[in-house]
Amino acid sequence: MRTSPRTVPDNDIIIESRDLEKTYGRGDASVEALRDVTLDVRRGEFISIMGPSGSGKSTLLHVLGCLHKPTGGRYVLDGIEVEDLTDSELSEIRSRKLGFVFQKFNLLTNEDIVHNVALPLVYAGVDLATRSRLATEVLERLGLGHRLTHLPTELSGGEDQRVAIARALVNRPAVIFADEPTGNLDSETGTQIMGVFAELNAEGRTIVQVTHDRDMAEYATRIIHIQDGRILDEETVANPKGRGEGGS
Amino acid sequence: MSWIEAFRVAIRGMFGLKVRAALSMLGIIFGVASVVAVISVSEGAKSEFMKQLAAMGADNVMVQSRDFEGDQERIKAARKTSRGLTIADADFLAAEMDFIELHAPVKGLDVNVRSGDRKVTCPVVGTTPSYLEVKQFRLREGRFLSADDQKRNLRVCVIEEALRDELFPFEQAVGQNLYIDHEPYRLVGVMRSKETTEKKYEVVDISELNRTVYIPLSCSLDRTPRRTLSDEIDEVIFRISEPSRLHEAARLIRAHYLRSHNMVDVESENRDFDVTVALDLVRQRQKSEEIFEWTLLIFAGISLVVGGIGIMNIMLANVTERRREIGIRRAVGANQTDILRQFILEALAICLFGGVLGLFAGIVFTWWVAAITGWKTILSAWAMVVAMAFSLADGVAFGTYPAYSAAKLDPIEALRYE
Repeated sequence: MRTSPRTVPDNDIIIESRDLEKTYGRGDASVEALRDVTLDVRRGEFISIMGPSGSGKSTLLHVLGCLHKPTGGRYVLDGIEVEDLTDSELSEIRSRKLGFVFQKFNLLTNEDIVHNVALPLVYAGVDLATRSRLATEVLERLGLGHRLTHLPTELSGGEDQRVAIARALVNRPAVIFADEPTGNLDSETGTQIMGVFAELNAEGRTIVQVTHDRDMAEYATRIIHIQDGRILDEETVANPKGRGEGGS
Repeated sequence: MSWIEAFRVAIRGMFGLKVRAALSMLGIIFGVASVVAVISVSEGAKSEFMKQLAAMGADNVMVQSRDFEGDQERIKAARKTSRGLTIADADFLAAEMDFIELHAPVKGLDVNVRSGDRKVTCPVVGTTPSYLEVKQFRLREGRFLSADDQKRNLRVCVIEEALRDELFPFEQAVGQNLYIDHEPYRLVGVMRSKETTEKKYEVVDISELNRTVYIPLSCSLDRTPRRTLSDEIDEVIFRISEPSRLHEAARLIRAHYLRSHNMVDVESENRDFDVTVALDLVRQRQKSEEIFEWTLLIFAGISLVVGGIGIMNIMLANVTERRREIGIRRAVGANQTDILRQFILEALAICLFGGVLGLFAGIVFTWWVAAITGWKTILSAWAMVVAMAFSLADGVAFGTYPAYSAAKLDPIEALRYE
């Protein structure tokens, strides 16, 4: 991993993208999923990316989350220039700096929840005892301390998503990415989960979520609208939900 | 990801497959089992071969007279040119050729033997003192025939251990008398029996050896019905001093006999003798056994390859089914090497497990073969090591491609898999 000499004029910017492009396929069959995406995210911000299906919002999340490489433009994540890193270097960034929460939870069904939460630490090279301790701590914080040895299939959807959030938190990431985190939950459970995100953000964590649900988007401090692979506009949420009386 | 963690995941992965993993293990199990069994059986055969060689004397050249299966016409024809195998001939050769270290003429007798009132059926052989060393026999008690016995034509005999146990199980054997053709022979020694455990490996009829009675050659010639050719014998055994010149010696000995028997060539119809090298006899047997062994090992190898293909098959299915898991692991930070290692270790776990089962199956199969056939078998550690090494190599060779295809999956596409 290299640090770009041109970056970090403002230490508070954690995601800095300039004219990001992502094209799938080649020649006539190619699809431009992202075009000229320029976006800054400050440390401690909670961003919602909104747009209709096919607008490229998931693609943007995958590129920002280092799961796919951009085909053009520049992307600096926490001071690291990402666009020409190798696959193995991207894996290391995911393991040390990022956390993911997915719509379908994506837990390992044959492992208990402690093992699921500890999984990112396995690939970060943390020893077994520390892994179990950190995973247990995070699970207890999210109110799952009594379920440690359960399998994901034995829990409710809301609990599973809490496990997934715990997994995203366990390596103390710089950014948490969430892809439609409430999409598979009923509205009440969804609200609870968004409450968890709001709480985490209030503690100072940077969160980027993708959603098509206006209600859920308003837990963020800023909403980015995207269509046809381009940023349409953005709005600042005056009074983000889930922050109690005074807002953020 | 640490190796221990990787191995834990691999074992869990393997048990997740259960029945299919067990089925794909079969090839490995059979392969390993047959390697172990084949090598165990052939090791047993080899040790028998060594004993066999020791029993016959590896460095001996044996010249035996042919009896033409009693065909009187042919005997007569041979007699026209040849006087048969004689002591004089043998002594002449031994004196002339420096590579002959020792030689022992042997004359078999068809006579009855009695011990007290008891009639004994056993071979009686007349020979000289050098026989003991030529055949590498050892004495159990007493002494062997001596030059003095020979010269003075003394009526003495030496018997073998097995016969002693039969005739004199409780009393001192040396000093007793045996009646051979109604004449008393004083027993002067007992020879230690040679280890000849099995009939399967017999090249010459050595089962009788352990019951043979030996008397001085001079006495045995006396026993022969008085024909004109009184110094004719059945066999001469030559001990060759340099093992490397064994075949050269055999050729020279054959040439000498051809000349002295007035034969044109080895192919002569009337050739009344055979020259054999003990080593060759056993080697021939061993060679055919080796071919058999290699054939079996090739089948074992094919079984291992088929087993490997089975493992590749199940691992490919496994990778397809677990795409989502691969996607999850990649998303939280696993790199391609981590995934590659995970699936190779899983293939190895199958091979290791199958290999251990195969070892047990091989051991059981070897015992079974030994029990059914009575063959001697030797379970060798190196055979097990080799078999296990091959099965693990199988896992790496056939597990790499599925693991590679798993590692190369795109994380997002893998996550989309239902």
